[in-house]
Amino acid sequence: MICTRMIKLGILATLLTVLVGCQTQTLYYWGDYEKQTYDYFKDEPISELIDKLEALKEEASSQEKPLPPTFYAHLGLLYEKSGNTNKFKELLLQEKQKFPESAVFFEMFLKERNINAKNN
Amino acid sequence: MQKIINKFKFFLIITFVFLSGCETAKFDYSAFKASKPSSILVLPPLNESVDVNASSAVYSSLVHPLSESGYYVFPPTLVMETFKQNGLTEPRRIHDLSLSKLNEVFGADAILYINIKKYGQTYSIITSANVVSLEAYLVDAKTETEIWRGQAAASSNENSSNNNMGLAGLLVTAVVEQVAGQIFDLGFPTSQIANKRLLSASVPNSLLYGPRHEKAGTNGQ
Repeated sequence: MICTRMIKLGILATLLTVLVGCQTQTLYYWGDYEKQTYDYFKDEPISELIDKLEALKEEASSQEKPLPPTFYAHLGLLYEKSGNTNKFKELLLQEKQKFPESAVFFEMFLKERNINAKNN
Repeated sequence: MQKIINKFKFFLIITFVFLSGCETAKFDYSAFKASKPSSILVLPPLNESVDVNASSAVYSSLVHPLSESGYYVFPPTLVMETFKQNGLTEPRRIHDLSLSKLNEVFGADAILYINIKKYGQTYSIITSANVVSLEAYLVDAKTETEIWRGQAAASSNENSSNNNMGLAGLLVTAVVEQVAGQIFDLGFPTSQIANKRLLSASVPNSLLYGPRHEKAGTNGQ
């Protein structure tokens, strides 16, 4: 009887190991970033969202993982919404440098803002 | 001794059944492999449900599975902003845009179209749950070929099976779940699970891993 219990336990342990092994490491540091984007769509105050994302950025700097795609660009958009277009451009360039796949899209944003800057 | 061996055999069989349960019919990835996208533009999801939050909850919870699968994802908030500045707020109209127009603005390798079939609180007498059900297809932006198609769903009460409760208990649970679902906005966490099942390359028949992942070009664990 004790023997069968041991076998049961052994099999259970093996299954658990297999299942835990399925859990993979993430490529990026997320924190509660997804929730932050959702809150943006729900029209939470921009200044609060900026504070939270800056805190997340701070948190990420002590991690070995980079921040995910879209993070810098999204934070930039929040700055532009609060009137800081220069900060927006700076963050777009950062995202473009980390993820060159975004170049076409962000160059459009940058070009528009540079033209506006010249006209003003 | 014989008894123990028999029991052991039984457990082995159970284990095999459990593991082979993971096997499903394989999706044909030949078009996907030929296309090899590295960046994905997800258009604002179409919403067939009555819940107005559906599109934003689903849209903000797909960056995670796509990025972790090795792709660059265009930022949903900036994509929305761009469409809005061009007078487009209706996902239906955005989904109808030509690929050449999208290529000109975004320069993405592939476009992902998502349709929200169900979203929100469903109430029945025995149980109440928050449900999100999604369908999606991915198109190569240059050749206009569909390279992948899939669907997934999630429900907030998957983990709470209350088998030993009397009917009165079940009724109370249903009401509590209904109210809790509305107060705590369960739509967002449920969307996160549905999106992971739909788009994470670790899930069989989902996307292939993208170039930013070491398992690029494969699917599954």
